[in-house]
This record gives sequence, structure tokens and C-alpha cells, in this order.
Amino acid sequence: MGPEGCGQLSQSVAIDRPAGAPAPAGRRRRVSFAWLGLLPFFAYVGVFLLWPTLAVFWKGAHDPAGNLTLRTYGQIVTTNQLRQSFWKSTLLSVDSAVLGAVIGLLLAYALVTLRRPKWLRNAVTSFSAVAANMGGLPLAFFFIAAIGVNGMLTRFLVAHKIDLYDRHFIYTNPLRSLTIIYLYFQIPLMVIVMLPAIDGLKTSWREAATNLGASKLQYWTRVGLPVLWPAILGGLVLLFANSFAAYATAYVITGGQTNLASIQIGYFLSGNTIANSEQIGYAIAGWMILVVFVAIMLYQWLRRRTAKWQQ
Amino acid sequence: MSAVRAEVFVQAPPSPRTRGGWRLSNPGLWLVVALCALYFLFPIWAVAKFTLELPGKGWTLKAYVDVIKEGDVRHTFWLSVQIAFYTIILSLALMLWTVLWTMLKLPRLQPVVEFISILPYMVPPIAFVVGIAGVFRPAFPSFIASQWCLVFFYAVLAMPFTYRSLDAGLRAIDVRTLTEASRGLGAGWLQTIWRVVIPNLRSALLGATFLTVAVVLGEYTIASLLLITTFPVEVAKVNQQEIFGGPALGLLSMLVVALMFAVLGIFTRKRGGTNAAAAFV
Repeated sequence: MGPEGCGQLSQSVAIDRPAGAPAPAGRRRRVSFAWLGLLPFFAYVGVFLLWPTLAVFWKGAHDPAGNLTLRTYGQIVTTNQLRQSFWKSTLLSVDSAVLGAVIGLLLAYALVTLRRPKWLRNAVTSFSAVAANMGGLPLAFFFIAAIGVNGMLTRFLVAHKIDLYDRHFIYTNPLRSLTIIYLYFQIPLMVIVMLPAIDGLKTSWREAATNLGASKLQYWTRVGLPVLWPAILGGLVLLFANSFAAYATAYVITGGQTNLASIQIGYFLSGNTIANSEQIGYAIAGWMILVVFVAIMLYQWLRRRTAKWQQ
Repeated sequence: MSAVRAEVFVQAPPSPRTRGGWRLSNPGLWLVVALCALYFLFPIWAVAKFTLELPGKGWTLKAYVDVIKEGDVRHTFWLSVQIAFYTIILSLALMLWTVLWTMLKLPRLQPVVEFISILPYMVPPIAFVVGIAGVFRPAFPSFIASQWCLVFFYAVLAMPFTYRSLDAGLRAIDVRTLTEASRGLGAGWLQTIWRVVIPNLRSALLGATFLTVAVVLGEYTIASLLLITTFPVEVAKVNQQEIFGGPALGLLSMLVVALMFAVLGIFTRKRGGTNAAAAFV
């Protein structure tokens, strides 16, 4: 309230000042001058973000002969291998998002509830900031050392007659190992998203519910979850987008052997295209941006709904 | 107010019984914490043991010393540090000016600027690099061949949290009054920004800086596909040639980032600023 009121005040002062005849001219000059201040920002974003991004869609919307068409986007859906890559990316993202959201939610709830060692929450939040941000190579190395073919856990389990690389577990399904690995950044991200939301559950609501005779279960189904669900859904969607967009970890872990959408794009860029039309690469990237864009927009919308309760 | 009331409620009435109850009634939550700790710490332990306890040599720092001695490793690390430095200068200058200008002159455009600032979240790096290669390779081939082009794209990647961090920082202080006071006392705009705004924004600037460093030191996708050998790309290369070198460098870079966040945590807690992690999403 404060700064806004302040802003209106000084703005109206600025506009009212030229009370004489040249008022409209003065006002117009002021407005155009203010716009100029944002010019560097808009120019920068235009050249270095919007131009390349829109070019992806534009170039994808052509056939090899250079005619404008949406056929290439359709080709992604009809070509078996490409459709599969999107399907596998989706499976991996759903798996890691759901697991990450459930575990992250539990962990965030535990952090808020267990106030015992005071350092616990700080330690986990700080670690989460690091881990949520740690895609890429270090993560791949960690897990190769832990559950790779010669990993510590692998060897330990083999000594106890359990083979991680048996028919069932990892070897036949790289998506499963990627899910386990992605959780390393998904869970912390969920914790970061959920902590403020769970903190927003006011003690007084719980007390009111208890005083009115609600059981613990009733409190959660009638008060807790209805308040938290936009945050939970938002977290799920964010985690989905996060995993869908990931490239480096998957590339290093599987050596580019897994058929994921992001890996296909990498192939295309390094010149190993499956189809010999470069439009395909743009179209895959276009689809991917679209999926992630929709997911993040949904997250933003849900986040605003959550914020309503946190005042 | 409400915090005080909550405090009273939590501590005063049935103090001994609830406290005992917290400990006893929550073994499930402790199990969650313990399992998560195991999941998150075990891989770090595994990679530390793998790189520190070499076969036939026992516990030694040899793998680390050897890999740091390599010229390419040091050279690319220095390159990444320089790229990070220029990225920080560029993104902070651009975003500080933009956020400040929006707040003071065009508050109505604030939602537009915010939306544009978080757009980079919606373009995955792997798709972004396709657009970059498609547009800049034909138009400016020498620009895209230079390693410094990464500065411009990393500044884009840094935009969302630079914006968040600065926006939160500027909201916490009353910029309008501060700048009007400073201008009223005869300072110019640059002087006002340099001597009034920036000193008041220290923790926000620090947060944006560290997140940017973390991004630049970890970014593999764009650099590798533009064929520019930055530190992360070199780490991947080392990993294919030596058994211990790659993981050792991976652990080191994670420790560097963790250290930065720890410093940031101490800073923001003291000043009651926003959590760095929160600025990230």
C-alpha cells in the first residue's frame, strides 16, 4: 500500500505541475521519455531471447523446400521414433514430478512440524538451494559413483546377492535410473516451493478446527489440503517442466543413448539428425518450448492462487 | 502480532506433554528426514570415497592435485570465471536499471517487465540453443564462434532470478523516498544509484551474483552445443579420459557452489533479506 500510494502522489504532482497552456505537450514528452528508459531491456530481450526463440517456431513451420506449413510439427507426432521420444520424456517427467512432489511435500511438512533441532530446517533449505540448482555433470558423477555399474551401492548389493543391473531394475529401463537421479533436484525444488505454503497454514486455523471438534484427518481434508492444493499442483507442474527440459544429466548418464526429446534435439544440433531435414530439429524444439511454456504459465497462475492465503 | 500469538499458544499451555508428544508422535516424519538424508548424502559420500581413496594408495588427494595441474582444466576454469564476471556485470547493470526505472517511472508496466524477465524459465536451454544456432550462426558467424558470446546468453538465463532478487531488494527499502531525497540534495541519477541505491541493496546484489556464478559454473548444454569449451564442458571431456578426474572436479564445483550459498545464507539471515533459494523459483 505504502509505496504505491507514494507513487501515485508523486506521479500526479509531476503531471499536474505544468498547469498552464503547454500541459498536454509536456505530458506527452514525459511519457515518451519514460518509455525510452526501458528501451535497453526490451532491445536486449528482443535480440537475445525473443529472436532466437521465435525463430525456432518460425523455422519449424517450413517444409524442406521452404514453404510455410505446419506439417513438420505434425511429423513429430506421426514419426514413430520422435513421438516415442516425447512420450518417454513425458513418462520420465511425470514419474519424477509425482515422486519428487510427494517426497518433497513430506519433507517440507516434516521440516515445519519438527522444530526440534533448530539447525535442521536451515541446513535442509540451504542444501536444497544447492541441489535444486545442480543439474548437469556433478549430479551424473555422484550417481555413477553410487549406483553405476561399479558404484558403491551396486557392489555392496552384489555382495548381498542383489543385482541392480539384473533383468528388472536399471539395465532394461534407463528411465528408471534417470527418475532416481532426477529426484535429486526435484525433491529440493518441491521443498523450496512448499515451505512458504506450509508456513502459511496458520496455527489459529488448526486450533479453531480442533476446538470445533475436528479430528486430525478432518483438519487436513477440510482445511489443510484445500488451502495447500494450488501450491501442491503448482509444484507438480513446475517439477514436470523442470524434468522435461533437463538435458545434460541424461546425456552424460546414458551417453546420449536414451530416446528423450531433449536428447533428440542434441542429436539434431550436432548434425546426427534422424530425418535429413533440419526443420525437424526446430519442430522438436518448438514442441518442447510449448510444453514447458504451458507448464510454467500454469505454475505461475497456481502460485498466485497460493499467495492469496499467505498474507 | 500473529507470530507472537502463535508463539504463546505453542509454548505456554500444555508445554511438557505436547513437547514429549512431538517427539513420540512423529517417528514417521523423522523416518522421512532420515531417508532423505540418506538419499542425498550417500551419492556425495560415494563420489568422495571414489576420488579420495585410490586403489593401492589409500586416502589421498592425488586425484584432485593431478587434475588441477592440467593446463586445460585451469585454463577453462579461468575462462568460466571471466564469463561469470562479465555476465554478472551485464545482467546486474541491465536489470538494476530496468527494475529501478520501472518502479520509479512506469509502475504500471511492472507486470509486463516481470513477465518478460521470467520468460527464460519457459525456454529450456536445449531448445534455446537451437534458436541461437539457427539465428546467429548464419547472421553473425564470428560472434557465435567467439567464447564471449556466452556472456549474452547467460545474462538471459540469469534474468529471472536477477529480477526477483532486485525486485524484492528494492521493495524492502523505500526507493522512491531514498532517490527523491538524494535527488533533492542535488545528486545526479548515476550518483544516486551508485551511492544510495547500491549500498542499500547489498544482499540482493550478492544473491543475484551468486546464483549467476552457480549457473555459469554449471551450464553445460548451451556451451557444449555451441562447441565452446568452458569449465563444465572440459569436465565432461576429462571424465571420458580419466577415471577419477571428472568426478573430482564435479565434487569440487558442487562444493564451491555450496560454499557460496552458505555465505549468502549467513548474509541474508543477518539482514533479514529474502532467501536465495526462493528467488530461484
